Amino acid sequence: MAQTGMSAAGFDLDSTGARAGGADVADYFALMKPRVMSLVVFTALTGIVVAPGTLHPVLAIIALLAIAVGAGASGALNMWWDADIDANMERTAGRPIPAGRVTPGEALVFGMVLSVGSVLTLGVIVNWVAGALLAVTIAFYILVYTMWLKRRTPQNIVIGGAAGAFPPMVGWAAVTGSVSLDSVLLFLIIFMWTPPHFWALAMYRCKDYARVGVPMLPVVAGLDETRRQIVIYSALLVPLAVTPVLTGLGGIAYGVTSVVLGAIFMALAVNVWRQRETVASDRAAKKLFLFSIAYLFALFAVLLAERVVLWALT
Amino acid sequence: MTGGQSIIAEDARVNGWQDRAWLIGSAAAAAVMAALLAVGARFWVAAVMASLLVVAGGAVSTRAGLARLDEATRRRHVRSIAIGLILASMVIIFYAATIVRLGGNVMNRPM
Repeated sequence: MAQTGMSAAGFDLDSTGARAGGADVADYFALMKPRVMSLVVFTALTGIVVAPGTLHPVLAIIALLAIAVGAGASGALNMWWDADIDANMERTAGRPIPAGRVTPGEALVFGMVLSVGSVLTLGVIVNWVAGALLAVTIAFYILVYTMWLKRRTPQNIVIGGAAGAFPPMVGWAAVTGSVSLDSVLLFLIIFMWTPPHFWALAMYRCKDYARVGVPMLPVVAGLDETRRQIVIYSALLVPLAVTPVLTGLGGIAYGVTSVVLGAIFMALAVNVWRQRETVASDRAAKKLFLFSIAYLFALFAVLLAERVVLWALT
Repeated sequence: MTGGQSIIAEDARVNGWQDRAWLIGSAAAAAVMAALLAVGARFWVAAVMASLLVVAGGAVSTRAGLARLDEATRRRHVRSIAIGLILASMVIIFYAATIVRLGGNVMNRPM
């Protein structure tokens, strides 16, 4: 007869240490990091809509679904590998694996099945360039970022950020079957946006990262160096975000939005650099972190809206 | 309440209308489909409406059944239902994609 017990979180555990009856469907959904997935879906949708050419709506929906599931698979595999870190961080201790609701083995199998399924679906139904790019995205996030860089170097999110930047390129490739300068621009905008976004978060979560030994920039190089790097990357990001106007990818509305929001982004980054007192510094970092999400969302939303309006008028 | 009465009350609860909702939904689906086709609606519109009623009835029945299970068994059942729905979605996705990609040429192939 199986031995039973209770987990720290109060769940009935069987002799294997797993929760009796297994996880809820909601736990598996949580493994897919739905909030991250929503940003991935949104940027991929923008890639699909702004790409030259057409894709049948059914195929576009399938492409988006496959990209979303691929992103979810990456999230599940990331949680499987990082379960030890997650258990010791306030922000992530409630995730399904550290909370004992899903076993690491279940998360691994779940992530692998979704990874293979999403890549094959995108490749077979849409095209293999998009499928291959999705495979590279998942592999980059898991092998390069999660397993290799995250615990080794403070440049982890600079290089690892590429994984989060691929989705619009995958969406673009789903329509065109290729990669072009404009899709690389979309990639670069997210790539340059990632460091100031995550370093702002890391500044006020510094103790959490230090406790689990993740060498985020504020932990390794200190807050002053992080502030300096945030300003440098913001200064690179803001003009880069305007360049789609020059290539014709973005219109007047995009140009105005990218300039105005870029100026606010830069001002918030400079504010992070100026505020040295702990409370004010944390507040400035939080402001930049939250604004950075709205900034990226707005840039892609305007690109999307411009194309929809163009369709409506022609 | 005697033991016998309690069992009868439990049976009545277990076999309430929710447990028969799949039957009610299916009957309503057949009726709605027949009515829509009779008034000249497109076949796919009637089929979609009928399918929604069958699914709604099935969902109510399933929910009633799950409510009586212990927590661990309920979780297992919900997982099984989710896997079933995902597989069914995959079938629909690949069917739709095949039709979209091949269109009217789906039956046109050299022997």
